[in-house]
Parts: sequence; structure tokens; C-alpha cells
Amino acid sequence: MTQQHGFYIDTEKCTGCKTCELACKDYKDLGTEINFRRIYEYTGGDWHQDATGCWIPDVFAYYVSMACNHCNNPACTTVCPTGAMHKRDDGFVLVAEDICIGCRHCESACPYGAPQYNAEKRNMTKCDGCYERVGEGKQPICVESCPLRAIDFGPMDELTEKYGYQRDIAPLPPSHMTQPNLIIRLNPNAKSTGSRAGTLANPQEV
Amino acid sequence: MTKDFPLVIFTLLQQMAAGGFILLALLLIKQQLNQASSLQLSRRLIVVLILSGLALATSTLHLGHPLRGANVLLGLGRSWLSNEVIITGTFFGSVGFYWLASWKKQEWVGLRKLSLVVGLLSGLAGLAAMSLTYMIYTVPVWDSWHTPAGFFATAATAGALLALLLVQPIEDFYTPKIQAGLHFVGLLGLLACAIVMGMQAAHWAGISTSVTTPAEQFAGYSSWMTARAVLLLAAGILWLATVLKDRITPISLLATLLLVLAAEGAGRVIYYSVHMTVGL
Repeated sequence: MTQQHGFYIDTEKCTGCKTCELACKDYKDLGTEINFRRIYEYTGGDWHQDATGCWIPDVFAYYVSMACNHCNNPACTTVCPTGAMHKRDDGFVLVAEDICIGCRHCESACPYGAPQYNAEKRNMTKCDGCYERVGEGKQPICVESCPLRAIDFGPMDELTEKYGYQRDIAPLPPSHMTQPNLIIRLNPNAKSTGSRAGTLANPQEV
Repeated sequence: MTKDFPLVIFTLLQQMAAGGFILLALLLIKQQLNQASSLQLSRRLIVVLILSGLALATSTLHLGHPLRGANVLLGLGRSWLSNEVIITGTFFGSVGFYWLASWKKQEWVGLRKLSLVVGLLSGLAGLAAMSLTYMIYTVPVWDSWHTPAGFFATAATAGALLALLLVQPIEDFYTPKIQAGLHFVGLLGLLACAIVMGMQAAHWAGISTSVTTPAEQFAGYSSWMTARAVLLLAAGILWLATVLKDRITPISLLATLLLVLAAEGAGRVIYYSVHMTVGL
């Protein structure tokens, strides 16, 4: 097995501009219904009374850009009845679209929303990590498009050395479940996984 | 949910077919398969065959590419969805063989008995595999004991009513003892349906992620829950009343079965609609 690659998402830098999502859509020629990369807007806030009796708001919002994390223990491949959804030797999780029967079981299982059903093709589709570009020594299109340089991509040991180990942040699932190849830089307002402090502000969009 | 509607029909019909067949196979296995009453009951198993066939046909409606359906063989052993399809196919094949042989090859007593046993075991295993298909570690609303408990309870309840309807015209089988046994299994199943419903609702009430809860996933959650409870209660009252007053007729059995199917159908709509993962 060659080097496992993964994504780094900087939730402190990300402004939620969605350029990554659109660059991916353009490059992969996706319609309006399918977004291999999606930006989850997690927002909330409350009023707190301080020691002097003054009421202070603590409104927050941050953005988590999510595609496929090419997990080490992918739920999608575990449940797939045909093996169309598979993890390659080089670590990328891909769907063989000519084998997929479109039962959508992977969609039910993935806690990151990565496998998406293409109603025209009648089978599953997903982020392939731009493995062809990576093979040519380029970065995935979402990484190159980001005007804030808030996304990085590379071999996991290099990313870990550069950015650390953080993988958990609301509203993502606990990372121990599927072991995503993902590293997160926490926004100062970041809430922990499972927190009910905020809500998803753009449910229709993702 | 709409995408899962074929699966509501598939799981209901297959559970009823498997439950009914398992109970009838247990009755038949002890009998001389070539006596007239056994043959009569065996031939009535066409109903089980049709129900299971309809279930399997409906299940293909939720596939994008039903013509590639054979590809599920590739996941045999590894994926519970594959196992479920293959075991359920075995069930259908065994019941079909048994039914056909009861017409054409009555002299194959050993083979017929074998197909009865294979049908019984694959019926049971199919219910287990169906449960494991949904017990996905990233889907907390489905990954609990309530999934198999609910599926087996539906199979026992609807299966017992189906079995009663099928044995009802055959005197040798419609004995007080067999009637009592089938009513007991069915009513116990109905009680289990109600208990599992309550405990599963409590389980769901304890699940949340940063973005949603099971009840938030389904706008009609409380009204559908209420409808299911009312239908279960109605089925229970009708069933118990007709048993206690000794007023069991094919019509009363059919009416009870329809109420049970409506209740469990509502339960299945809720089950698919509250779907959520541990994450997004």
C-alpha cells in the first residue's frame, strides 16, 4: 500500500465562501443536486450575565468544509453489497460506477454524507480525492481553489507532522468510528463533537 | 423516506411470509407429507410464495440499476445486505420447490421434507440477516436490539394470522390445540410489537448529534407514532375479543391481519424516516 492521503481543514481560516464546493462542482461537472464537497455552517449563541450584572452575547458561527475523508474504516465499503464501493490500495475510497446497483446503502451508513446518489446515472457517486491529479503531482481541485488556503491535502504522516492530530469538531461524528483521514484546525469558537450548543444553519444547502 | 418506501413493503411482506411459513412448516414437519390434509395445506403455501415473490420484486424498486441486481452476489459473506438478499432468495426457492413438488412430485418425500427444513431455516436466517443489514455501527437509530426484536415480532404476529388463515379450512390442521398455539404466538408477537415500540421510542429519545435528533428527522413523528399505537391497540382488542368470545372467522382474522399490517407499516415508515447517522 502506498501512502495514505488525507485532508486538512482549517476552521479558523475558512470564511464559508464555498469556492472549494464550486471548483469541485465545475471540475467534476456536477449538477445542482450533487455536492462532493459541502460547507456546513455551524452557528449558535446565547446571552450570559457577567459578574457586574451586564448581559453579554456569545454569538458564534464557523464553517466546516467536508468531502470524503477516505476513512481507514469506511462505513460505506463495509455495507456495500457489491463491493463497488471500495478502498484502493493507495487509500482512496472510490465507487466503481459500472458495478454499483444504486441501492444507496452506503449513503445510509456514511456519517459524513460523502456517497451521493446521481439520479441521472442511477448509481452512487462521490469525491475521489482527485486521485488522477494527485497521481500527476497536483493537489485536488478544492485545495487549489481555496482563496484562504484553508484546505490542505497530502500524505497523512506529513499532514500530522505539520498540523497535529485534531479530528473532532461539531457537527462532525466522533472520529473513532470510521477513522477519517482528516485533520482539523479548531476555530476559537469550535464546539466539541455532539455538542448541542449550535445548529446547522444551512441544512438545505448540504 | 420516499426512496425507502419499497423497503417498507419488502420488509413487511417478507416478514409475514417468513413468519407464516416457519409456523406452518413446524406443523407440517411432524405429519405424513402425503396424506390428503398435508397436501392440501402444502398447496395453499402458494400464498406464502406469492407474498415472498412480491416482497422480492418490490425490493428491486429501490435500486437505481435493478438489472445489475446479480452484483449483490459479489458481497456474499462480507455484506449483510448481500447475505439478506441471498438468504431470502433461498427461502423463496425452497418454498417454491416445496409447493411445486406437492403438486408434481409427491413421491419425493425426502426432498420435500428437506426443502421444508431449508425453507424454515432460511426464513429464520433471513429475518436475522434483514436485521443485521440495518444494524450499521454509524447509524445509532437502527443499531440496537430493537431492530431484530421489531422484525421478529412483526413476523410472529402477521405470520400467525397468515398461518391461521391458511389452515382454517383444513380440519385436520385446524384443531383446538393448533388454533390455541397460533393465537398464542400471534398475540405474544403483538404484545412484543407494542413493547418494542415503546422501548425503541425511549431509545431514540436519548439519541442526538450536533445537527439533529430522530424526532427532528421526521416531521410526522408524533402523529405516526400515535397512529401506530392506536392501530396496534385496535388489532389487539379485535383479536382478543374474537378469541375470548369464540367468534374467530376468516373475516375476523383478515381484519386483524390488515390492522396489524397497517400498524407495522406505520412503524416501518417511522423507522426509515428517523434515519440519521452519528454525524452529518
